[in-house]
Amino acid sequence: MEQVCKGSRDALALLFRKHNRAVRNVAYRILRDEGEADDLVQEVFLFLFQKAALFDASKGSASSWIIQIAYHRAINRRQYLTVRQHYDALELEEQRLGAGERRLFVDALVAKTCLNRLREQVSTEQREALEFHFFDGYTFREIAEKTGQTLGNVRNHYYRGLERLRACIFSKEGV
Amino acid sequence: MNPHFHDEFVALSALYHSGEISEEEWALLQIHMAYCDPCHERFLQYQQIASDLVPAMAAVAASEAGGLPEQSSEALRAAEQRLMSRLDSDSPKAVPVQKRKIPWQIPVALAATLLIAVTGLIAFHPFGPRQEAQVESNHPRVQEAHSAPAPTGPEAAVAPTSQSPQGNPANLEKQVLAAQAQLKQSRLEMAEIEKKLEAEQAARTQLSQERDALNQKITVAQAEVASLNTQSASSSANANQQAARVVALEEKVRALNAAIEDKDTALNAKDRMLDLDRDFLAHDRDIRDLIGARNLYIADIFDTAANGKTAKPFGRIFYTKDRSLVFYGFDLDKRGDTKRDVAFQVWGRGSDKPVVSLGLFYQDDTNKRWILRCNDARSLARLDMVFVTVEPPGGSSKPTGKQLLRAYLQIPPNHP
Repeated sequence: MEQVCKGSRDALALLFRKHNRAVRNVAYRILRDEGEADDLVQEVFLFLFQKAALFDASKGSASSWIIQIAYHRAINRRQYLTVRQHYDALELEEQRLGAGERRLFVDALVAKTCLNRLREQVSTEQREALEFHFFDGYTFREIAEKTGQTLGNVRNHYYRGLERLRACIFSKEGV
Repeated sequence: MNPHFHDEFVALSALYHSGEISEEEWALLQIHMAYCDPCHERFLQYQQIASDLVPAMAAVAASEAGGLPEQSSEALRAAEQRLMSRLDSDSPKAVPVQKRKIPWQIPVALAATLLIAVTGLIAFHPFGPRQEAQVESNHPRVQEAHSAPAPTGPEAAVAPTSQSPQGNPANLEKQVLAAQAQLKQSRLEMAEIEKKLEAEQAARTQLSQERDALNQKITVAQAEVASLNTQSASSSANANQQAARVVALEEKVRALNAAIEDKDTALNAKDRMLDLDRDFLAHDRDIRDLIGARNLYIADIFDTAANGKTAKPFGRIFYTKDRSLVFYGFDLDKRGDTKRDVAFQVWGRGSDKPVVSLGLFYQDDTNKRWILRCNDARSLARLDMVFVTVEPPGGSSKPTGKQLLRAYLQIPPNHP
């Protein structure tokens, strides 16, 4: 990342080859379109090249940061494609990914542990609401249509599940 | 703070990062978080989950799901070339952002400006140092909260000023003053919103009370309806019973009426029989009186035919001296020279008295016998003879017709 920050294209190419697949998978799962996923991969690595200075190694690994960027870009892109509303994604990313004291780049092992704990501790409806929303980028209304539940129920399952996850993560015995 | 409202804000802080809360809810949440530290802390935790943890979890989930097939090396190379070519085409933009070295004069000027701004805030703020400290402590939290879409509020206006110093201290001072004015305006707006919130909470409380009162009324009304239904059912049952009883009574009345009619019929028959008995009894009494009377004179009245023979008797008298006279006539209307519409009148005559009427004959039930009764003792005492004449219907005041029968009364009794 340090080399990329200095403008090294070779370093960017190296990052691309290493993380391309993970970024593409995240993008495809949310966007559900191969072409859109490929475009998003390009956008993510262009952004990395331009904003590499924002990376803080003390907060976590580069791979976690790259995944964060890819995820939020994919969610934004999905929202854009869904409602066709104009927004400045670049500015949004800078705000979201800018230097914050509490920002952390969660590595894959911790994420897998949290994912397993989520699946163990929440009900099926709560897990569906969280996973459809977080991992697939569905809105609550889409989840309601997909699961045949009311919008209010989906909202409630989401809140209850997320609260369970939060309590689990931020408790003394949390991850 | 109502615990129920607090729970709602907890839910809102969880839902905020989903992008599924309204602008109004977001504004209320910001106000709440300004004075509720637990909610603000929880909001940051949710934010951290959504921003930092969820992407990593999504990547794990995507890798578990398999996702797209792995790209071929040619495709990967082509994508890499495409990226590099875009770097070339976007060269003006593609220059990596590096940490610029800031000349030493700018931080010094910025520090001086900030010092002036802080002094000004302390001097002009109406709530004194404690509130100012709160603002200072709140400032970063709200700024963090605004890391999501569309930052709003006074801090959003302050933040760019402090991050991008420009120009000389005079300009900066102007900006600080403008920011202070904006901050004051925003606080006023916030106070107004808080007032509205309180009013809304009061209205909600009132509505809740009204709802409870209405619920109580509904409960009472439902109880009344249930009671009325019970009464109605009871009344219906009573009405049915009464109707059945009325039908039974009507049947009974009909039966009684029939019985009364039968009894009336029987009574009428008995009355008739009783009248007959009375009649018979009266006749018997007359007969007994006649039979038991002393000085009774019984005589048959005969007509003598032209050849000197006695004909069948056509009259009979029962005379008790000075007491009673019963005069029977037989076949008076069958005499050849007698008209149909006539009356047979009985007359009495004394030796020194004019003729007096004793009455008209009447027919008894057999229609063959004609009868006259006379119990006028004074009249009878003066009579010597009785006779019968044929008179017009209704009788006459003196004899006008032919004499049919004649009997003398001044004779000794043949049954003394």
